[in-house]
Amino acid sequence: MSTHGWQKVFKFTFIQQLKSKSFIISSVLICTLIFAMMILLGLLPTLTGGDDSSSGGVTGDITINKLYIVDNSGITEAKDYLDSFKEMNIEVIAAADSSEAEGYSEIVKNGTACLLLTFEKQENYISIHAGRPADESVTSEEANHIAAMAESVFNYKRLEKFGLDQSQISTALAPTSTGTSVIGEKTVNPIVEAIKAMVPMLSSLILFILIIVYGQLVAQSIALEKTSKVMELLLTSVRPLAVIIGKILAMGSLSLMQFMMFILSGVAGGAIAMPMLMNFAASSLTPSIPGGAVPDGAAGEAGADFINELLGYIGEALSGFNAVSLIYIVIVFLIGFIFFALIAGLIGASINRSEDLNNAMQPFALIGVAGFYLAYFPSIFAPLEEGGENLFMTLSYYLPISSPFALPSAMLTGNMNAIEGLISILILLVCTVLLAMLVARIYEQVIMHTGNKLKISDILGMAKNK
Amino acid sequence: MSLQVTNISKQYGNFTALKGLTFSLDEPGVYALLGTNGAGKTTAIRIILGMLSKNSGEVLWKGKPLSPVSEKVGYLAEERGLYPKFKIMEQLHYFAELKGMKKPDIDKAIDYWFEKLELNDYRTKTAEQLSKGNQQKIQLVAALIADPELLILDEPLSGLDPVNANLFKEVINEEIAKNKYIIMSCHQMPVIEEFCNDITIMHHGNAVLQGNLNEIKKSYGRVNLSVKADGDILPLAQQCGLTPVAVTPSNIDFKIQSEDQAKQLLNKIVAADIPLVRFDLREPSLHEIFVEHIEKAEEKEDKE
Repeated sequence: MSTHGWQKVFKFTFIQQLKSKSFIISSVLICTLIFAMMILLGLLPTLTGGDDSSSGGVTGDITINKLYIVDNSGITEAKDYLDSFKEMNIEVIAAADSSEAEGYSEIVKNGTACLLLTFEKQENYISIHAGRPADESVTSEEANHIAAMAESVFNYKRLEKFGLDQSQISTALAPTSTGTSVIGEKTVNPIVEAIKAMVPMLSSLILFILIIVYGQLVAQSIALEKTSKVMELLLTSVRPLAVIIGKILAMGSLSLMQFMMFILSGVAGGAIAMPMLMNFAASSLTPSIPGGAVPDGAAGEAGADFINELLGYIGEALSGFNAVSLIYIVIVFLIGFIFFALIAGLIGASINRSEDLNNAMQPFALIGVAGFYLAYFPSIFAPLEEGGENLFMTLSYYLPISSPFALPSAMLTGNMNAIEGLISILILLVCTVLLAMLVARIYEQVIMHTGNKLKISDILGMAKNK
Repeated sequence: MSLQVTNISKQYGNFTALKGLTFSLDEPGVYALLGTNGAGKTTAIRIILGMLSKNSGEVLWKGKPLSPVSEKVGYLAEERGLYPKFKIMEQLHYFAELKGMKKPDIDKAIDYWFEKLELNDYRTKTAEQLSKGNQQKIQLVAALIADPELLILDEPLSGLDPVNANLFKEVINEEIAKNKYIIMSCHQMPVIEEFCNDITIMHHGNAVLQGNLNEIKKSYGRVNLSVKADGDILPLAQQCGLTPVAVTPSNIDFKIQSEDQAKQLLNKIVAADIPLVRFDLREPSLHEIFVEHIEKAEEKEDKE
């Protein structure tokens, strides 16, 4: 069966589809959305005020002019706070004792945007209390923010008084996390598990959308040629099989190209969002140093630490990410696309009226959705189960309707090794070749059929009687 | 013998669309496939073009099985088809490239046919922006662009206005002059009579009449008599044993058994001194032959 001329069908289909408004609009729109989402991810912590729970969450400028400090902690003095608040144009005024403080509280009552900060040594702890004017010239959020800042300075200073240097203080103040596990079993990191759950969802969804949408386009294009009678003209120059091969490969290339455009948009957005995240990390993770004296590079280091930690989690979750897995993913995507597009092309060729296409495509959509859910659900629940795998998950790796959606995430998350991936690809390839042989056998009859609506039994009958 | 179609048949389940059709184009010229709707003409054309598989028979071009993919075959389909939203120039380049043509040759051919068919104003348009007639012209360009030796025209003039129909006729005459082999399917009998040497009349998948058109007509003899006179000639016709088949203000038409009957009537009119305007003795038209054979075939089918 001749496939002569498929390259010309490929070229024409590719160029016309590339120039189509639907391709241009969908590409620009989705790339912009992905780009904007990445930027938003970088901006989000800043926009939401970052770690506000500890600092009180101030959304606007600080309006406080004067900070009266009564320090009875026995550890720090009011002058220790001078430099820290000087940067914020807040004048720090020391009060000797509580009676003097009473006088100041009279001033506070007069409403001059002041705050009275009291450090008291209690039996087992130090209390820090912020008193604000009754006329609401200082909000409770502002008061909380200043109190939290004062607490950071206090913690820093008290360690400094014990003779620790800046590095030792940073180490001493570093946050800690706790977790439990059974001895001998791998420790479960919730962040890693969350990433592992998100990867199948995102990758299956993107691949599903691309394969189904472009599969539909193959069917639509073939149906248009058949119903508009262009096919009769084409068939004086090429065989039907060359038409379907050219179209499938053109649509497959376009979908792969669009997929790459989405990835590049994400990378470009990420490149812009990353410095924002690092700045945020620097400002929220660096311990407060009195006098604003953040050591040179300390902010960058803290940001880098945060990003490195995040990348470490992503790296752990995507332990299977390497050149081999990427090649596997591209191959399985292309073969998977051809598998689904062959079905779509056959359906497109079987209809006689363009308005019948949507109804006729229902079996195609059902097969695609079944494959997608089979790949998606077991993979997000599996990490919670014993051993991290289950029967449905294994099935989804090897069934041709689900493997194009399941294999990429399984390879990336390290749930599937190279040998298993190769077996999965081979099964998909064999099924695609068998399907292509079946389609080649009946396609020429189906494409010229103009009578009654073809049923699946009619199509199978054609294959049998050929 | 350049195109030889031998015993081709097509069966769809229990329905036979084509029963052992055989014909050949030995010389360049136009061969007509005629028939009622559903007679099997388009099925035969699709089988010749290799679009449809056949249950039996063979199609040979210069002694070898015809493969439109490797030979340059031009085809103007009965149901016109272009991509509605694509530019017509891009479509024509695509169709020509599929025929193996190179860009300079394509541009040259397009320039020639666009000039000939008065299409130059539509170069930048999409197909859906063109009128039906102009879309038909573009389709004709697509069929002719590769200068095919074998040309198949399925209802080439249907839906065209008289001016565009004349343009198409000029093109067909030009192709005949270039010694092309042309198969034409058409319902307009005068067009067939104008262009075709040989014909096949089909009915329900069968060939009911085949042969050279002139010879078929000659075999009938001159049996149609049409008379116009400034007086009543009907009594004279009755004397000659003639009964009119049609009486109109301009003519009285008779079917005659022999040319002697016509001579007898003419002598009587002259003897009666009735002024004669027209006395036309002629062969049956293709239209009459077609209707006669289709009716006979239907009668035969009814009996079976």
